[in-house]
Amino acid sequence: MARTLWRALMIVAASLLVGLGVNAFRADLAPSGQPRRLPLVTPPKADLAAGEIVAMTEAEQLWNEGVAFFLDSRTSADYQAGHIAHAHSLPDEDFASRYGDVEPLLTRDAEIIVYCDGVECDLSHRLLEKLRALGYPRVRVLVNGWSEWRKAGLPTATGAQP
Amino acid sequence: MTRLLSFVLRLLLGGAFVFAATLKIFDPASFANDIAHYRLVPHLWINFIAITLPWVELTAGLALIFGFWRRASALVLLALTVVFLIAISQAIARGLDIRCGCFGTIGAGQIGWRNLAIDGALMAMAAWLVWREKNERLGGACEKDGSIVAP
Repeated sequence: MARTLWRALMIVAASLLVGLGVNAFRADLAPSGQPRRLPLVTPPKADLAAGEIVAMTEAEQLWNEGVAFFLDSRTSADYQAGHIAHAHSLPDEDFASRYGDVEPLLTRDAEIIVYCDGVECDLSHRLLEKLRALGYPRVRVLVNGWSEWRKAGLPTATGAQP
Repeated sequence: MTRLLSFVLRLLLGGAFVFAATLKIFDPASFANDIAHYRLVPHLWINFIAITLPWVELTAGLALIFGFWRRASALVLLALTVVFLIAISQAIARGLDIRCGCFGTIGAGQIGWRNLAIDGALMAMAAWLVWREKNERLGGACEKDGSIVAP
């Protein structure tokens, strides 16, 4: 049994070395502009800073004026089931593969509002961190966005990307 | 007969892990996100796990398929399935609306009993192989009557 354990540890150790080795040499992990290799995910912060939150009233106003870009950070299925009208889908969990879809639509100084659903939901928070890291300073979170938007009776849509 | 069963289980178990590992190796960023959503490990560890764990799965899976250090590789996979069992259980218990991430982005539905059942089946296979594969050998093995059986 001791020999088996020893061999099992050797398998794990060899795998770790190979994994880290391969990772050090691959350059395909990120879409344009995203930092390569580490970190793959951004740590969540406990709370959003005041400047990182957009109030519902302001979000509504920006939406009416058509000057803000709304991003839905929930899953594609959630997005298709219903989302804020004119919002684009950028699921946090598929960020690496989906960022390329919205990148051409964004300018660096664009007013971006990200949302998910539920007060506890931190998907939009994670998305904010990623977008800020990519050089979009004017990203803000609409906390509990989907619920609040529906509660306010504002326009929604269903289906795939607009 | 048990040799044949061992052989089949090694192919099934090893194959499942090699398949899962390959998907994750090609898309570590998605896997890192999936791990993060489990809310189980500190953030400092997530990238490390996302980068290395699939390689442990791949190495142990390949070793098992090719009959190299069978018992040890089955033991590694058994340990992994136990860890996965804990992770999936706590996600279900806490009602986390996340996807398993077990096989990359395949089967991206919400995590649930199905994932637990698959993991349980893999765990049973691994446990049986650890128990059975006492004689580890490179290459083929001979039955008592001298006939050569598949490695």
